[in-house]
Amino acid sequence: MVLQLKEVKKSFLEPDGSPLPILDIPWFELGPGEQMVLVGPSGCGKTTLLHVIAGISRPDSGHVKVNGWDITLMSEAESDRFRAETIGYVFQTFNLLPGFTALENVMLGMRFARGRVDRARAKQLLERVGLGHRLHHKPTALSVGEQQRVSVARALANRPSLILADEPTANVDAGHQQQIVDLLRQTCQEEKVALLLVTHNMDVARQFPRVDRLEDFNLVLKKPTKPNGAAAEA
Amino acid sequence: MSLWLIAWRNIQQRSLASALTGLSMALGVALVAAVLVIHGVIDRSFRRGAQGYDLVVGPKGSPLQLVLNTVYYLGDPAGKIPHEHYVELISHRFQLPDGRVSPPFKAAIPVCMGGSYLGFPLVGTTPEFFELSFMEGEHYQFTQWGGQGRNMETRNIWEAVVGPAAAKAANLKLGDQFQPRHTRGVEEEECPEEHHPFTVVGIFAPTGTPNDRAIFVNIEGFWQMHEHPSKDTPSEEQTEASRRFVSAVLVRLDESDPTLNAAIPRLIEDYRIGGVQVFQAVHPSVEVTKLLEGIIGNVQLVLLILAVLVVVVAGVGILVSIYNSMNERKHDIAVMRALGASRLTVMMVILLESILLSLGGGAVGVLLSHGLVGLLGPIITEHTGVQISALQFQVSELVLIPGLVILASIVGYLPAAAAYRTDVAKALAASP
Ligand SMILES: Nc1ncnc2c1ncn2[C@@H]1O[C@H](COP(=O)(O)OP(=O)(O)OP(=O)(O)O)[C@@H](O)[C@H]1O
Ligand SMILES: [Mg+2]
Repeated sequence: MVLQLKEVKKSFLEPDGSPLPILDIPWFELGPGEQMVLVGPSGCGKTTLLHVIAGISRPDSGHVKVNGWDITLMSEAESDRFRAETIGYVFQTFNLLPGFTALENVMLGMRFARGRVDRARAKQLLERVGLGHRLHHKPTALSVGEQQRVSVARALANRPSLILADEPTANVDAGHQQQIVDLLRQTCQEEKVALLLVTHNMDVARQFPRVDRLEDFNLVLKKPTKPNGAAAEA
Repeated sequence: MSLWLIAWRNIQQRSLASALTGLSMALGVALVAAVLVIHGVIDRSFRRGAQGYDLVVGPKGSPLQLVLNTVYYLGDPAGKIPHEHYVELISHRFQLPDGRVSPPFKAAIPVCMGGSYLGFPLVGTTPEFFELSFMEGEHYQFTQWGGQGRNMETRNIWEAVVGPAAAKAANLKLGDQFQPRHTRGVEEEECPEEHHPFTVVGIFAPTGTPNDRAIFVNIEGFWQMHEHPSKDTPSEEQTEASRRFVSAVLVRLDESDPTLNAAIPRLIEDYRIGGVQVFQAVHPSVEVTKLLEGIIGNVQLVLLILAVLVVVVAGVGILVSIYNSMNERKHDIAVMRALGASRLTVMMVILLESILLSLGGGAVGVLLSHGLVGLLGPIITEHTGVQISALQFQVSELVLIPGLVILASIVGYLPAAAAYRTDVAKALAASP
């Protein structure tokens, strides 16, 4: 399995100091090269889940295994390095660093992994996403759709095993939306990368072989009658 | 893609703020470099001037005044030594503590101060002045390296040898004739009568000593020029005695004789003529060191402290500038972290940014001050005889590099720590 979650719990603190449970996932898996969509109402914890998988946030308890490695047992620096090498991340917007060109943004992802910065691969990837003629443009000189394509290229830079995409098409018009979904799916297939994509868009979700609803496997959302269920109803 | 490049991109990203903070750093460092360069130039030129002679013997008085006047042509002469005292001094054999009798001085050159031509000091001396080296291994040149003509001759009492800076500024060429003023500096004092003019027979190659801006004339001519036809005509003998004087005697000793070197100044100072001690003997380099380490050193220390404070203020400017930008950069830092950059890495990027700004500004500042020195160099040389070029770097300027890195690390620490603490999940959620 590329991804395995076991007994993962995560809660935030409310302003008054009481815990606000967000995630309680007994079991979740994703196979190598598998492509899936995660859906759920706004505020149900999808982004939080992706952060936990990427090691950006630590779960309160439980285990997160990526490629068989338990990132909850790693030191922070180790999990940072591990993230650089195994996980590609695409956000909703503002993915790119504004001071750097498209090419540099892609190479930046390589910088934090163990391998060398491979300029040729960075170029290739940008050509692959159809931006071979935009290598040296800064993000502000690119359309939002083009920016998202650069992020896809950057997410693939370190030949990761898993790409996490958090509503990558939310700010893109319908035509380009399909383009980006196709791009993500094709490149992930070619590079044999597993893809976990979060979206609200059912047109997008329908195209995937696997669609999971967070409320189906997140116990926080399943048990509206538990002691602090008030938060879950919200 | 190194962290340096990432830091540099961040600087470019905020080019105006970066340029302004870098500029303030450049000005501060330029100030420090200027103080260091000027310190070095003053120090070296003073020491250079003081190296030619082992002792300056003059009338009793202030040793510093004696050295400043006879070696650097600054201020007024400390007094006069009657010529016969001079003759007595150089022919006397002193009793050394080890029982020996002192050998004759290796050299004892009389110099007379007073008078000027177009503001350049006039010195009466003997041709021997130019036969000795002005520094160890460095001799006056009349035939190469820009020197022209020849040394003056004892028997031609109206001959003059001109320092290169003085020759250039006063527009004196070989064969030119000129009439100096009696007492230099006093504009009004016109000589009522025409003197016999002096003729320029030599201009020596630049020495980098104060001599470059002096005018040397035959001591006999110097005396005759000062011979005033006064209303109350004194007796022939008195006139002769009062007109032949020396301001100081430049003495060179046998350097292979430490006993002699150690004992001679005391012996000269204790030497009595007519029952009175008349001489003082001063090591010019000792007096100059006292001066440099005393007054001048302290003034420079104060200047240096002020300049360093300017640099520190510029450093605080960098701190404020980077720290203010941290809020808008939280999202970028979070993106880097999401790409796998560690806390330490994003912290280093901010520190490097501070170091780049400081060192970059510092480099510009050093260039600025040296460029300025290069521009002003010829003017300084003309006025002081001090050779100074844009490429004269002080070893002490090297301290700027670690100094700036340390300063940059200190001022960069606060924003860097903020980068270190960035909550990635939160910062990613907030749109920039
Ligand atoms: N740092 C935090 N502190 C407290 N509460 C938080 C924090 N981050 C998120 N939350 C809360 O956790 C819940 C889940 O947030 P999350 O961003 O994971 O939702 P989401 O499913 O991604 O929603 P959306 O579809 O709108 O992006 C929300 O109610 C949110 O307010
Ligand atoms: Mg979300």
